[in-house]
Amino acid sequence: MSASIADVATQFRDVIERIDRAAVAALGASTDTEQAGGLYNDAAVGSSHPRIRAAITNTREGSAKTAKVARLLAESANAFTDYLNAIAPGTAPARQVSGGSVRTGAQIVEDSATKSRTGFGRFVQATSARVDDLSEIARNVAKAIDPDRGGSGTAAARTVPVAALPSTDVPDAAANLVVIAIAGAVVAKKLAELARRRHDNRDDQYSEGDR
Amino acid sequence: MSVDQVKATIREGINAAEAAITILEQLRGDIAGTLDLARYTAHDSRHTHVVTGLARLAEARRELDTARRRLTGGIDAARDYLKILE
Repeated sequence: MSASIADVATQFRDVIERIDRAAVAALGASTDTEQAGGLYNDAAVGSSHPRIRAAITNTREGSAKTAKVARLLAESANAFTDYLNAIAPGTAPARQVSGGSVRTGAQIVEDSATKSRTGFGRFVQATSARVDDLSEIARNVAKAIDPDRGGSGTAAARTVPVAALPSTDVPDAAANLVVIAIAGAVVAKKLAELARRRHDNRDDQYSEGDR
Repeated sequence: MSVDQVKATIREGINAAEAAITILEQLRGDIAGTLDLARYTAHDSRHTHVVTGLARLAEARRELDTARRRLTGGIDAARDYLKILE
């Protein structure tokens, strides 16, 4: 490998790791937005006042956009990983969770809380009581990827193994993880792969603009 | 639910939305910096994976701004409603 390709590969690894971290943070924000929307909704019971309705509508839209950000970031990291594998096989980040096993959501939350000096820590504290696995995050991303999923049998069946990702049934995927990427990013990556497959059949998926 | 409970619930919702916005604001700079680095690293590559990776990253940045605006609008509306209840 020439020095220049090695340099490029090193920089792309950095890019991929940064995007992975951003994707995880976006997932955290997405969970917060879901919570906010749910609380507004709870408070609105019995009221049709336009301001509380506006709070709910805006927050739901913001939540959908936040989940979309997480999905786009995961797709971006996947694309750069594919490129890195094409130009310098074997040099893509070892997107491997330390210890050889994928951590649970609770571990992620705990680790992040101790490291974080940002809003992510607040997310972590706010959600640590109720996130004991990745299924909730996975559902958020699944909704973002597949917003027209109305609980149909096929789509739901697709997401089940994703929610169960932190188990040992995906050794190849586990070999593709980053230490920092945390299991949440794994879920995002897996879901993004699903989305990409959908995209192959539906070219209009990414042409949707902000309304 | 009493009026006080309604108000407390809305305040809790506002706190959660603000936490999300804090994360998004941090992310905004992170994504912009990463996009710069990715463009620099990609140089003038027209490789399909590079084009896709850059496009998704740029779209994420745009969508993030929209998300932030919507959430802020939601907070403003929730605060208005709180005032109405008082």
